[in-house]
Amino acid sequence: MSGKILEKTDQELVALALADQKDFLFLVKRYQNQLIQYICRISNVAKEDAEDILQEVFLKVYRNLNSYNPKLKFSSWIYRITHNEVISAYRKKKNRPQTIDLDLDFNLIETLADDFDIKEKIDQNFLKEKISQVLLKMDHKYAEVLVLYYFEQKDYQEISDIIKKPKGTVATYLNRAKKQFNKILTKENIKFH
Amino acid sequence: MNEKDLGKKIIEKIEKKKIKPKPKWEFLLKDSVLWFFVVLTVIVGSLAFSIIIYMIDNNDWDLYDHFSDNYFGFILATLPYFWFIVLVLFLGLLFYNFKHTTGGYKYTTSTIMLSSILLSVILGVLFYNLGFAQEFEDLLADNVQPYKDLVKNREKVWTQPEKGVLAGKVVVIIDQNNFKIIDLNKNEWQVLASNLRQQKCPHIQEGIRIKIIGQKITNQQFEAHIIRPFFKEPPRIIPFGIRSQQFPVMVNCH
Repeated sequence: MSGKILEKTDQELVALALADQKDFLFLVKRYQNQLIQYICRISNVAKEDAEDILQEVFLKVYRNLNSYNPKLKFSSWIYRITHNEVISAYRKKKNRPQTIDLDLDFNLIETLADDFDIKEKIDQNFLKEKISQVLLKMDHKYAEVLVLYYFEQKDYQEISDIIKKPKGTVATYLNRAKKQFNKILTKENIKFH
Repeated sequence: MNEKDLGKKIIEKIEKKKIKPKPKWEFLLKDSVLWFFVVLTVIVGSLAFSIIIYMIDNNDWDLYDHFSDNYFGFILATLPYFWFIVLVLFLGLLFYNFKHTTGGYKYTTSTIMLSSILLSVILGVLFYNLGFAQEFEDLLADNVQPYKDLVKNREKVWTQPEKGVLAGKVVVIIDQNNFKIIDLNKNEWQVLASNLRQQKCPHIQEGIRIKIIGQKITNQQFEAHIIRPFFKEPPRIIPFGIRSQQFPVMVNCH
């Protein structure tokens, strides 16, 4: 992406895309990596399927560009569309993920490990696998809130805008998600060492 | 697929399928329709609440022993259930419509429900004071057959001369103590009102609707002990032109 384009805000890129459809490419490039990671984190689809979902997301984004309200962060809006698309993909398949590709960087894992009192020095890949196991066993709505908060690093307001729930509900979900995470750790006897 | 391929593939798909962004007016229209329904549900819900106040206000709580053995039974028998159901239904619709507006998701269920109830109460009291409850209720009773039947059932309570209650429209006036009414079953009654047990009485005029507590003397004569307007005039500040019903003026009894 050229330097000039990199400096442009999301809203400016939306305006460019509305003026010339080829410029929509700039928005695709800005968001495709983080969205593909997000899709993989909250679903069990293979990389190819995740890319199909992502394509649908971008087509939907393009069709609905005029409905984007600048009062909302563009990233929240595009994450919301992705969240909806993943849910509709679930419904089509009528099943829950069997494995989750967390695709996390190690700093994010450490943030989560700190919050959950996982203090032992353990191998990061091993930890990643264990976290995936726990997330899989959680209710989807709680697992997704954990993913958005810890791995996508969204704040309460952004999560509220993405999953379309009040901020208070997001806080409740996060609280319950942490409890459920710990409960599954204990119940399944998942050890980090 | 690498970053370059995916972006290119999406643009190609957009071009191939000739996808265009939906026009802004489509979204504005959708939002406006939703807000129209939000406002509509607020208005109907508030009207329902205003009619509940109107009916409760006209329920003659002090005369309960003429209709029921106990006060609780009277309350159960005379509550305006239909309007309570309408109110609950429209509060539900209001909640549903509001939740689907652009920013509706930001508010909790309890916040939306409490605000909706509060708004319906405030507007309902205002509508009642403006006389809308009476006008709307009359409009329905005159034009909607199922509602007309419902109202008739409610008014039938007041057509039991054997039990000492009678209601109807004044048709002939001999004097303020002797006049004729047509009851809800279209029977004509001569009302003798020289033995009233109240301080304030409705001034008897042709066309006014009244309800009477008293005693049946014959099949065509009824002695009144208490006379009241069928509906009290609501404390309204509505323009004259909209007043469709004649309310009796209250005067000292003869």
